[in-house]
Amino acid sequence: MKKNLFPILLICLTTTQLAFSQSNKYFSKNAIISFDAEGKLDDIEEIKATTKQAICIYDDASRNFEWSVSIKSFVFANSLMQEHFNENYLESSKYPKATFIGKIDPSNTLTFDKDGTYPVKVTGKLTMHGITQNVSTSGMFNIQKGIISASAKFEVTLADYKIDIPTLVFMKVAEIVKINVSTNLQPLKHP
Amino acid sequence: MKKYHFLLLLALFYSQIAFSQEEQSSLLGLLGEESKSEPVTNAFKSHRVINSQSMEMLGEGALDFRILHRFGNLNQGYQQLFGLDQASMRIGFDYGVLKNFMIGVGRSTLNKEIDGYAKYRIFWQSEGGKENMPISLIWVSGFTANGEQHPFQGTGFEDSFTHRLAYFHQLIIGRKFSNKLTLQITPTLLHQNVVINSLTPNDLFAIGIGGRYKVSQRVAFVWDYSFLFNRFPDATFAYPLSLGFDIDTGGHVFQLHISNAAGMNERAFLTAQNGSWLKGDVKIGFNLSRVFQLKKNTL
Repeated sequence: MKKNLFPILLICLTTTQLAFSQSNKYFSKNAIISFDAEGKLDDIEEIKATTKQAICIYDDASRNFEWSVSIKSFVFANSLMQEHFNENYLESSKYPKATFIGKIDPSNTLTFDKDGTYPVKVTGKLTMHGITQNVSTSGMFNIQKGIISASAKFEVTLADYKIDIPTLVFMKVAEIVKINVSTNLQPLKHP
Repeated sequence: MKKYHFLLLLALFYSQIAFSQEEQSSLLGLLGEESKSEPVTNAFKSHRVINSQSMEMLGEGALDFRILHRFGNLNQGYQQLFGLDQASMRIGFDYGVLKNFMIGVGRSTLNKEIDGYAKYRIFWQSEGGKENMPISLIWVSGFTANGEQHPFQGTGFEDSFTHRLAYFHQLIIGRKFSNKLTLQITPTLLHQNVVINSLTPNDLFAIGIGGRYKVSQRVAFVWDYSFLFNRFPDATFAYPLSLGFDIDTGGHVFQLHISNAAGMNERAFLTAQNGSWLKGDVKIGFNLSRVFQLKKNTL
């Protein structure tokens, strides 16, 4: 009896251990996302916006990386452009958030307790304007004296998300928008 | 033996807890982010409904160069090309000083009148949070000054500056009900320093009702009506009513409308001898607006 139980107990204890050690998650509530939608027509006014209010969380055990940003938090240099971005392009009152639910390739090396730069491959689903598309890009984790930062660049095609560019401004707004994301990550205290 | 049983149970229990925590569907949920209350934007496409002020404001640092144009009466027939031969206009500049404060000046060809106003947003309608503001509340105060050489000819009034002045104060109570529908009511007090007829009150009370209904993403139907409570007794003039479309072309908003009011400032369209819609005494008009960003927004 004793012999029978012991391995089960061991397994249970180890899984407990594993489950707890799995909760090393890292997060940020002021991640930066910016994009550039400058079209072919070289205009004086640039079509760029940035937000510092994106949130993200990374789970080192499952390698899941999730992002969420409020569309209204993007700031343009030009107020009218910001208005049109919300009203006509992203329809932020209908679709207030953009999210990314992704995963970092498990084959990539990434250790948080060792300083260094770790290139990673990220794949996942990007949802904005009510439409979800698969996105894949390469990003970078940087660990320096315990400070963890992550960044990535990728491009999205507006047509994939059913974001229409009216014919009148077709030359001004790029069909493919360049997106930059970057953030510092801090450990999440409670699991 | 008993000891092991207990340990086993405990271990099972713990792994259960640990796993159930792991199974939480979204990692983002762990951040406990609550949705914040955010101001409602784009209640109207422009800071004017048609003639009257809307609950919308210019963004900070934005300058709006605005040309308001009214043709002659539609019922003049083909000889006058349905009023298109005559034109009355107002050139104006509006500037967003702060997020909730804007100012504007303009000059109309009608009475060569100069007008200016200040507009302050007291409450901004918000949504998405736990506690939201249901309406927007905006205060507008302004003046108009008649710029004609002899505006009071034959009335015995001196052509002094004070005589030329009129003031107005408004409270705009508006709400964007849905993405498509916005309604606002505007109690207004208009004071004219000089009224030609002794039965006409110096202080006029009016209420404006304006709204918009979005027909498509870039086109909206708008209307703008004012009712006056205490104007000259038995006056037969119609109350100002304007109907039109806002067309958003990307860089600017084009407002095309039909109105029975010739005036393009608050004094002018509230007190003017507006024609009757039923008799076709109405004018085609348009507002052109071009917005320049003078001060760049920064994070």
